[in-house]
Amino acid sequence: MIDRVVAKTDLIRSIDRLAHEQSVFAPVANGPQFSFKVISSAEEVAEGYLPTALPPSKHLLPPREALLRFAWHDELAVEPVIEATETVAFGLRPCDLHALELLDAIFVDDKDDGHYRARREAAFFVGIECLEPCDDHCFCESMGSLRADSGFDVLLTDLGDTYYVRVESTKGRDFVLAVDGAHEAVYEDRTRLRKAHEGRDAAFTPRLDVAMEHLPALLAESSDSLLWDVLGEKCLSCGACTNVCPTCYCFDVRDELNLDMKSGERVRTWDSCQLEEFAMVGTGESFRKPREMRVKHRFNRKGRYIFERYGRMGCVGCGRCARACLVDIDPVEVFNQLKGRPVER
Amino acid sequence: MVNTQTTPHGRLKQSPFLPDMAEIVRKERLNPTETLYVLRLTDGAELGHAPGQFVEVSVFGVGEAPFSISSSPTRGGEFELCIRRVGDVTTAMERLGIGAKLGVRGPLGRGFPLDVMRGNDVLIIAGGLGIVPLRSLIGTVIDERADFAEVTILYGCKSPAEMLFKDEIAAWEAREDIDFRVTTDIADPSWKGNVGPVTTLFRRLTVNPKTTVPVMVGPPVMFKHVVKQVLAVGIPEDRIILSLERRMKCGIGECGHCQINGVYVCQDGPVFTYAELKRLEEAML
Repeated sequence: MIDRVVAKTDLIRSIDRLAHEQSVFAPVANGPQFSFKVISSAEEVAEGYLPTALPPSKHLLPPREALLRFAWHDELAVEPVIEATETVAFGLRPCDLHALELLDAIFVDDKDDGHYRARREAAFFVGIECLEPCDDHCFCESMGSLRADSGFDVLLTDLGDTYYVRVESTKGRDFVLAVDGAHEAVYEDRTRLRKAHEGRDAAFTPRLDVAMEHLPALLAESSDSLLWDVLGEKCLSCGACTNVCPTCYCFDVRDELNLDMKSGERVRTWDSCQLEEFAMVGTGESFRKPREMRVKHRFNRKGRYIFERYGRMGCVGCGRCARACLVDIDPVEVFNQLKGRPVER
Repeated sequence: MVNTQTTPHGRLKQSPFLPDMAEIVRKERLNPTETLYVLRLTDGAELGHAPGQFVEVSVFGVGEAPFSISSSPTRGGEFELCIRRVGDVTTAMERLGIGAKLGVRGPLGRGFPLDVMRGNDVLIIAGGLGIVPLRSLIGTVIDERADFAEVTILYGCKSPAEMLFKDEIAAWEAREDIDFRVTTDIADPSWKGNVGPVTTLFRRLTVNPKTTVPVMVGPPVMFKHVVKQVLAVGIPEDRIILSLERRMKCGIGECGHCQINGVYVCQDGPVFTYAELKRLEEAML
C-alpha cells in the first residue's frame, strides 16, 4: 500500500479525535515507568518512552479472563465468553509487535483460541519505530526484533516534525487518510526515512556473543552448565520475569462462584513456570522442583523450545525481565555466559 | 470436538474450553480413595476415544481436571473414569449422585500405539494407579485378542487393599490366553501371592525381545527400574511405550503446565516411546 507522511501535530489531533470516539490504548507516564492505558486525550501519550512495565500483549491475554459462564437455573447452562472491544493500540514498539506476532502464531494459527482471536481481530495496531536504544537492558537488535516488517496496521517513523507512515492494511489506510494533510510519500520523504534507518542501524550494536539462530543449539548443549546452579542460587522464584514478559502466556484455569452460589465463571489467570507448584501433580510429585531447573526451563523456552515449535524466537530482547528482576538476572549476561564469558558469583 | 457458537452477526465463535455435557450413569466405590464413574455424553454421541487418551472433566463451580479414560472403546457408548480423591475436583465428584451433570472435553492426547502392538507380544506393566489407563488397553486387547500374539500383564500395588478392579483381575487371571501376574510391596495376612516390586515379576518372565512391545504406566520410580529391565533384555528404545502423568490445565498445549523440556505431555503424549523421552531430563526416567 502507499506510504504516507503526516505532520506530528495533525496525527496528534487525529488521535485526540479517536480517543473521544473509541477505546485508544497508548503508553502514558506512570511514575518513573510507563503503562499502556486507555487515554481520553492525546496529551496523555508519552513520547520516547522506555518499554512499558507490562507489555501490550498482556492486554490480549489479561491477568484474569473469563472463558466460560455457567449458571444453574432449572438446569445447568454453560456458555463461552468471547468478548472484545474495538481498540486502537497506539505506539507499539517493534519488539512488542514481534511478541504479538508470536502470540498470533500460537493462539490464532495453531490453537484457534477464540478468546484471544476475538480481541486480536478487534485491535488496530499503530507501531512506532525505535531509532535509538531505550536503555542498557534492551537487546532487540540481537534478537532480530529491532525492525518490524509485519504485525501492524500502520508503522510510524519519527522524522522530526513529521511521521513517515508505512501502511499495511485497509484499516491502516483509512486511519492515515483521516489525518488532516496526509500526503503520499515522495522521493525526499523516502530519503529522510532511509537516513533515519541508517542512524538507527548505527545506534544499535549487537549485545549477544551468539547469533540468534545459534541460540537453540547453544541452550541444547548447555543443559549441564553450572551456570544454571549459579542462577538457581540467585533467583528468588518471584515470577516477576514471566509477569512482564511479552511472550509469556502460561496460565492457570479455575472456577469462580458468584455470591448467589448459582452462577459463576471459569477464568484463566496468569501463572508462572518459576513457581514451584507449577509442575506439581495431584499426588504431590513436582516435576520441576529445584529452582535451577525452573530458571533453565524459562531460558530454554525463550531461546529454544518456542523456536523449535513455532519457528519464531520466544524472546524479543525487550529487556523487561532484566529491568524487573530483583537480583539482576539479565538474559544478555546469561546467554553470553553460556557462550563462554566469565561468570561472577 | 470443537464447540462452536454463532454470534448475532453470524460469525463463528470458538472456545476450545467449552465442554460437552455428560452425566453420571453409575458410580462404584472401589476402595476408600478410588471411585469408578460410568459416564455418558448427554447428546448420545460416543466419546470416540483410543486407549491411553484422557478427558478434562468439569465440576462447574469447582474446576476442571484431567483424567485418563479407563474403559475400552470396544465396550460401547458409556465410558469410565477411575478417580482417586486427592483435590477439589475429585472430592466434589464424590459428592455427586447418579444423573449429575459434568463437563467433558476430549478425548485429548495421543493414546497407545495399537498398530505397533498388533501382531506382536504385548507386555503390560502397571504400577499402582497405572492400571487405570492400562485397563482401557487391556479391554481392547481382550476384545480383539486374535490381533495380538502373547499377552502378559504385570500389576504391582503397594498393598492388597490398594488393588483395583478385583473382579476383573480374577477374570483376567482365569483366562488361558493371558499371562496375568500380580504383586504387592507389602503383604497382609490374607495375601498369598508374590511380595515385592513389579520388577520381581519381570525377572521371572521369558521375553522375546524381537516380538515384545512393553507398555508401562506407573509412578516415576517404577519407570526407572522397569525401563532398565526391558532394555537389558534387548528391546529397542523405540518399542518401549510409557504413559506419563503431569499437571495439566488446558489439555491443548497452551497453558504450559505439562511441558517436559520442549514437549507438551497433553498433546505430544501422554503416551511416548522411551526413545522420545530418554533425552528429556525432566521426564525423570
